[in-house]
Amino acid sequence: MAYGFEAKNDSGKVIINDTIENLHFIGKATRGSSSTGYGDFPNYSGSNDTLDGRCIWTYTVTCSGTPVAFIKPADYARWHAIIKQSVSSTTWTFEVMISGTSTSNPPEVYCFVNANNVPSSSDTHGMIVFKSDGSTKTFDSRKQPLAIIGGGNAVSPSDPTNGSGLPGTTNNAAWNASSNDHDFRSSSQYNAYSDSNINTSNTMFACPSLAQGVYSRVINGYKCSNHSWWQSGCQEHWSTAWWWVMYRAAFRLRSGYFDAGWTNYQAGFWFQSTYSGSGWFNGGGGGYTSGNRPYENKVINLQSNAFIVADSSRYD
Amino acid sequence: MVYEQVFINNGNIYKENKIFEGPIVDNYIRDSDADPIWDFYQDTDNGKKQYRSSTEFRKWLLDYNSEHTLDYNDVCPDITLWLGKSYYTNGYTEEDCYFRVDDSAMLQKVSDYYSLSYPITSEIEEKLDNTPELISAYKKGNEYIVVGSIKYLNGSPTHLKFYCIYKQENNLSAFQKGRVFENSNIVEEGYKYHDTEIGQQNIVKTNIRAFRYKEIEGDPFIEWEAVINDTGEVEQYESSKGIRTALAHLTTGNDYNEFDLCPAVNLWLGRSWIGTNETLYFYLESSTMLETVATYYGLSEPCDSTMKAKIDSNPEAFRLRHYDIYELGEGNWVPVVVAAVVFDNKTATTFKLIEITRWNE
Repeated sequence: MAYGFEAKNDSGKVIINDTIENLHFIGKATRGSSSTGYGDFPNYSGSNDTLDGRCIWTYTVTCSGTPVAFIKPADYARWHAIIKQSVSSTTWTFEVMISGTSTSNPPEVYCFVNANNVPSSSDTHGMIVFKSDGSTKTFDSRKQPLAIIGGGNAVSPSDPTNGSGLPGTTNNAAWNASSNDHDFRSSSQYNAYSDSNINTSNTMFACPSLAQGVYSRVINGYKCSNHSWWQSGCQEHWSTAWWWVMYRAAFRLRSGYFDAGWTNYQAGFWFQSTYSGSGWFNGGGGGYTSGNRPYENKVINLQSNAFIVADSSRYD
Repeated sequence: MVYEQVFINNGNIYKENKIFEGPIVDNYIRDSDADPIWDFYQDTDNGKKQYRSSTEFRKWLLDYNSEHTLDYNDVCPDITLWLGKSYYTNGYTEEDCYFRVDDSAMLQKVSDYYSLSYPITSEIEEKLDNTPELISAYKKGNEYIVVGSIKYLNGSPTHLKFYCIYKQENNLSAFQKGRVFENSNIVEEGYKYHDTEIGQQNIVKTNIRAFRYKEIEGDPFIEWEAVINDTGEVEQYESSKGIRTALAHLTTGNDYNEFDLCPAVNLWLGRSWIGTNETLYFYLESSTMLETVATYYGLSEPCDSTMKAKIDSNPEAFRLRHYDIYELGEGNWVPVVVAAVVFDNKTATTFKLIEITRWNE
């Protein structure tokens, strides 16, 4: 830069100049409807039925440019994540997932956008920094710039489930075996990242929820009765009980820590019981579907992602 | 009802199994790794008896390629297909070598070769030569295999055996028997059949109707409906919320609150219906429950005192099947006896008891 304006911090890092586009606060997104559920497996009532549950709130904000959204929890004990961000014209919609099924204490979403897309201001005093083209703003002091107070890289554990190891498949269990023996909750599955700037009063964060996973517990039951020398006398019985949970990466702020973990997004229970030729007024077995299992067992997009934290009170 | 007969010495019965006429000694143990065809072994007084099918029989029946050798001692050249053999793993010197009986002429040659008595009478011989499908043990396409065997003791042939596996009609082999009691009378009686030709077990014929089960979807336990042959009417079935919860921890299903339900019944099993005629099935736990239900609905008891006593003393004899409805684990499954109340426009009209008997009971 031959001439112009440049501001640096105490470490010599550039804060403002004519090339770096600063993010500025444009307001809190408007909270809309919510959907809640999956505090347990749908249509199942046995052991290990309980899940973490999730509540998904929809927020909207209107702006030019692409907003960066920060989640300011109202309940810091819960896990939060933006699981979807979409735009129609200039209206941006965020789906924010929170662990638990309660619709109380929804978070607030603080939105920031690059200086050039900040809505015009009627203020007549302040400082604007332009790019070398003389028209594209990189900084506008009339809108509050994003002040990052901490951050780092975070990744969720590869196993989203509290249960020992990953859930798997058991064959030759008792016919009609249907008790889930795996804890699919995620409350103890997280990686903690130390950051002394984080508190549980006014810290907010931005971190992409890219990782997702789905895991199943399958119990195949079998029974053979009345076996005879010749084929027709044998009566075989089969059953399959199938619990599945889909997870999204989610995050939690604790005093001094940023936690990267999981929250269940969707879940289902599927059961069927069949047998070869059955009885007097039985024709055979059946199947009942409780939700569609979306993927094979795996976690995808599990990689370290940047998280940044900021002080929400600056913008209240 | 005679199901299987094994003949030796010109028609003497070496072994016979009658079905639906009392317990059959059933010491065959399933072992899916044992053999691709004979997936079992037998516990006998002389030890564990293993069965091994031959390479040729596996190829014939299953189109399954395997390479193993079975020693058949002295091989009769007239036998066109050796099926396999049974033997003891503890060294007990008894074994059976099984073969396909092509016809009576071939059977006579085998008899002559080993100097063993011809096993069957002219009556059975007539079936062997003209309707082998009525006594065969295996079928592939339009070919049937009737089984014979040579029994050896200490390495010497002792018996020529001939196996008859009887079908009742048109390749149908009965494997379950049902009786419906109503007002102390048997109002319906019949059998569930295994069609040995098409390999399906969905045919029921009784003294008053015949029907087949047609598979449908949407129920965890009952994925079918009964199509009554004569009228084309369809009787639909569903499992109850109660049985779904008890067996599968499901919370779905009908709890029949729209019916006047007798409070003495602890587990309603399901419902079937044709139009406004609906039948609710329940787990009949005792004769006391039977009496209470009959009194509650003001209906006649379905059976007499002898049968009622049997419900208490031997519920196994009636059971639909064993279910782990109390989650007590294997060995503690309950023989679920089924009774039913028929409702017409939600008014109870008939009380039924259903008795189910397996082929070996």
